[in-house]
Amino acid sequence: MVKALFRKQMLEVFDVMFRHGRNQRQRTYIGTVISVAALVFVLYILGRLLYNIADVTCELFVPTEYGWCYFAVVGILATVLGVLSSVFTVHSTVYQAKDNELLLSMPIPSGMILGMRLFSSYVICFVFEAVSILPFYLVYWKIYHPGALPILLDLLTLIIFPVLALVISCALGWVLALLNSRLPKRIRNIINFIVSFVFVVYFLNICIQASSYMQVLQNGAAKGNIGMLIATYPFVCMGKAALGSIAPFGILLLILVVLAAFVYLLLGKSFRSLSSMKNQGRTRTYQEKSLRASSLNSALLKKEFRRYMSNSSYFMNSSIGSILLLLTFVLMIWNYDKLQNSILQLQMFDNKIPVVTGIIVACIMIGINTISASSISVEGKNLWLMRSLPVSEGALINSKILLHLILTVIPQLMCSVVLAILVKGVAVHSVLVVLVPFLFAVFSSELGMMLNILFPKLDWVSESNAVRRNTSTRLSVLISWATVLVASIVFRHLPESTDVIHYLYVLAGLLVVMIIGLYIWIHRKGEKYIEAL
Amino acid sequence: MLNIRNLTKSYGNVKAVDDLSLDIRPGEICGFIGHNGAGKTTTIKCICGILPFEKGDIQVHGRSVREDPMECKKIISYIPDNPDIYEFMTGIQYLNFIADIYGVDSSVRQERIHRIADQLELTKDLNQSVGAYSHGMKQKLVIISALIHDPKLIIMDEPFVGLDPTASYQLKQLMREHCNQGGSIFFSTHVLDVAEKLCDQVAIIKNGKLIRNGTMDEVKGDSSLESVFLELEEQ
Repeated sequence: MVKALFRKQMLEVFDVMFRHGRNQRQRTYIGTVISVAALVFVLYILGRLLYNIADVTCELFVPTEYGWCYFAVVGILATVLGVLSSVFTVHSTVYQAKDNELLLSMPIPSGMILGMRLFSSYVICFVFEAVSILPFYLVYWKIYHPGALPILLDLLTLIIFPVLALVISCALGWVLALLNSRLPKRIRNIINFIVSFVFVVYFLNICIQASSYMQVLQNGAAKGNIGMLIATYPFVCMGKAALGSIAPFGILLLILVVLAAFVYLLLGKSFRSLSSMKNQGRTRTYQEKSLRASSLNSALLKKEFRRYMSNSSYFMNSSIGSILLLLTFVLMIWNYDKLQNSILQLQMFDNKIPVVTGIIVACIMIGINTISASSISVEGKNLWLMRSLPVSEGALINSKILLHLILTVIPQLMCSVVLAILVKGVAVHSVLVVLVPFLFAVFSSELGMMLNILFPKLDWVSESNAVRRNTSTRLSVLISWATVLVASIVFRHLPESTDVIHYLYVLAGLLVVMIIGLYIWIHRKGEKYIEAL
Repeated sequence: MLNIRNLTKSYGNVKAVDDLSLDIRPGEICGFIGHNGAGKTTTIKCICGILPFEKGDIQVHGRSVREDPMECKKIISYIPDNPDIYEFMTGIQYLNFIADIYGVDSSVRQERIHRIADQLELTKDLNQSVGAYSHGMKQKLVIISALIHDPKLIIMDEPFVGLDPTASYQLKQLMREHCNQGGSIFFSTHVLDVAEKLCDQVAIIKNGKLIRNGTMDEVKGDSSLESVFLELEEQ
């Protein structure tokens, strides 16, 4: 039974590698190898980037008295990444999985179902944390040759440490599920949004302030600040264990076992009731009122908005870019004077730097949004509806792209306009600061749509599979970022004599060409692909 | 109203529907019966324009499903065997959305929703999220949405599954009313008693081929539909 459940859960996690999303057929051997290689490549890129950072920083920090702080900060950042990668997955995998009722009807203890679901989330945390911690260990081993025991402890830490991220994700998932069971639907969605938003912002804030944590850890350890010691203790143990101390490793293991047991008991107590919950809060009896008619396109767009807002897992996972853009806008307004001074100083040195940097940062954030890249997949079993209604594939696609554009372009324009005002002086600079990210937003929305048409995932058990564990969303982010990277590399290697304005004109022109190309593909071939789904 | 000529649909090498021809006139209810996997749902999905087909033609009210699918869909309603509908909407939002898609006038949609939801006893639940509906409630909602634009042809796949006895009775009444007003209904069912009492015409499919088709009296003669069906299945 355990083996069967384990296999089912692992198949769910790694399904995308073994089956085509479009026709649900088993991939060929070569197809599976390519799919696995693509994932390994993405992880390698991320790992390699961190390896380069470790290569520069390891020798600066490890030999000092507070060498363990270095690994503790790595642990904090890895936990942030692990939590961000699993937090919404835990909620939707544990409580919203469509096969919960089926499994609960079988002679399987509910604790085992829960355990297997949590294990699949642990695997996700482990992959992300391993990619972020292992490069630092590798550099440490390469430079200091610490011997067998520290290496063994490092490897064991690598295995047990993701439990911490899992515990944090489970706690938030449980809170969300509890809220869902108690609140009316309208308030519930708003509360879900606020809780999730605050959570993501809080963790991003931790990520941004990583450097100051070194000091926090040192102060906590040195001055005996009890609160700080408790909050950072798992990371302190992790940092000391990384340098080969057995006792901190033992304490860390104990802390993680206790935390895991507590969360397992907490979730286990309410799993059956929360996961099989049907009635989502109290609802008012329908009172007849006049119904407002909308045009077909408007009705489709409203439908997309409703789906988007109905699930915190969907909107938080697919719109991280918009959230970051909104945060950037707030920070820009908040620090307007400081930013203006910094830009003036930069402009005195080279007036193209703020323009190019602003465009690159905006495009990176825009590229994270995967609303269109998961919009066909989230239709799932509802796809028959659009196929039987008098709605053309083109109208359906347009509504999905429009949703992506509205949610991306509005915060992008807010940021770009502020930056355009800040880089005042050359009018063309201001125009390009707004125009290039706007074109990139249109490009990334169409790119996401094309990828989701090619790699849809319609047979999901949990909505997070459609939004997160999906080839199209991963490729969409990867290709968007690769585009920004290529543009940045070309810019860096431009001859001194080249005018940046000309380069940005060329870039805008290329984006327009790609937008037109994608539009033609989507409306000629893409519509036919959707017809055949 | 519905004219199917030599319809053939294959999945790979397997012919799910093989050279099927069938006609339904305005005002008729046609029952479509056959064993599991006989090709009923595939035929229905081809008529609704959900599945493409290799050979043959399907005409709805003189328009070809292959040539002019959008115009055909405007006068068809489809009720699937499994009501997988938008769970993120409330019942009334879903009905309003469907009415928007068909371009039904505000006052007309209001009157139709009011009348049919009252008849199926779903009015008080229209403010609830569809995700909280039972299977039967979803089925009722799909039925209301299918009637909201007053279609000429209604295609139903096992429409009585999940309905309580009262709702089943109400649905039969609605089907008869629809046909009395000149519309047509083509529905698949395994409940042969219902088919026998309700249908003007019956079509029996076996392994993708239409093996019997005609008025109810022509098909069953003096015996029951059940015995005719079982006899044909054994052959």
